[in-house]
Amino acid sequence: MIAATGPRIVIRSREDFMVGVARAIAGALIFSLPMIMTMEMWQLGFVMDPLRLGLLLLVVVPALVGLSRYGGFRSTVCLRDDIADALVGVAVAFVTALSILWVFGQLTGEMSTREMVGKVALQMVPGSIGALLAQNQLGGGKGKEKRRKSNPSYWGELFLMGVGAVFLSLNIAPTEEVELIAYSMSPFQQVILIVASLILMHAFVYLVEFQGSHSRKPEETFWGVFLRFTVAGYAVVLMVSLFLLWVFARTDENGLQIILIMAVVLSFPGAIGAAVARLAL
Amino acid sequence: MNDNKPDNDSEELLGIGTSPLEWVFASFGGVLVVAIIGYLLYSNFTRPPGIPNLIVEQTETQKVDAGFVVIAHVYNKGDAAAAGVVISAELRDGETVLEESEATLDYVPQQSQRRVGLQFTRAPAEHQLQIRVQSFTRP
Repeated sequence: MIAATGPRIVIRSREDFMVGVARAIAGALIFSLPMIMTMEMWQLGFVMDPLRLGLLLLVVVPALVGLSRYGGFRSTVCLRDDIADALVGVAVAFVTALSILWVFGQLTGEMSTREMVGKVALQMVPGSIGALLAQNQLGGGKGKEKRRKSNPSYWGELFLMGVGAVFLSLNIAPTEEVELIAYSMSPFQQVILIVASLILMHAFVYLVEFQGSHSRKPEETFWGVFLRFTVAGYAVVLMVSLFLLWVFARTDENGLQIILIMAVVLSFPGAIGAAVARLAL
Repeated sequence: MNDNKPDNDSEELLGIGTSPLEWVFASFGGVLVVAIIGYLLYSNFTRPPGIPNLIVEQTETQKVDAGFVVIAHVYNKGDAAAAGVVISAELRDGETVLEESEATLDYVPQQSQRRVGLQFTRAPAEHQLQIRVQSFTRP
């Protein structure tokens, strides 16, 4: 990876790193406070199957590494540095979640270790994503710390869409409302919701000229781009929705049909999250 | 991966390396992930999900303006969380029920405890107090 034309690798100063950590704390707070201050999320810490919670945490680490690749703490040199960034994000999210939950009186001596570990572990998911995103989106970057322009590959774009979907649907997936909405919709409304998700997903990125919006290259057709990015992205969002519903045990006692409708319902915010991720990252 | 191209204003810069301090933070994060996942696995296999096992104990009684409050501790010694736990109490004189009181706890997690307050107008110490777990649901 290191070219022979004499580019150099600098090690960031202690001050710059501490500023980065401070930004990461800010990001963890911004992104996880809505979830830290929600009762259902505390309860999930002990209600959730420990194996599924462990798996969620395990999946988050490679997702963070990927996120760091496309714009994290700094212009990373190689994968090892992205792993370091991801783990710093995890550490920051842990300390932030632990402190806030304790200040709010949600970690007390009357609770078992299992309950406390579960509560903090669950909050580390949004917190660590927030910690990495903040570095990317809130980072000022003076001079040499200027953030690189990310230009992800096709698979990178799909990956970012998946992370965006996780981000927006993480605190919606465990709620009763997803199931209630799924029961309330007629088949016609279900189809409308799928079509609306696809249209919004496409429009956010290509039509509504937000900063960072993409434009179609001259050689590409509308349907080509729509299929390759929007439809494929929606498929990723659906998979993410199914995974989250399973992690939060929403699939356990329901039939296949209602599970699929729930996935479509959850994919609505997921699709918006995916589109925003493409714009923002 | 062609996303490591340096920006125009830092032509010679390939990237920012990882400092020893950052590795300290990163190692802490790595240890945390391994420890938490390890703990969750451990707790799943040593205490596989079972059913809630609830017991209730009276701890103290305090005089308040409207009568007396009995503070009771509810323990869940089982390996599953209980939701909507209803604690009912009766103040009796032999066969006669003088007063009834009831409290509901949203959740009592496994291996944890919660407190409830049960209020009476008569002094519980002068009668017989019976507190029991009446019902719960699974979350």
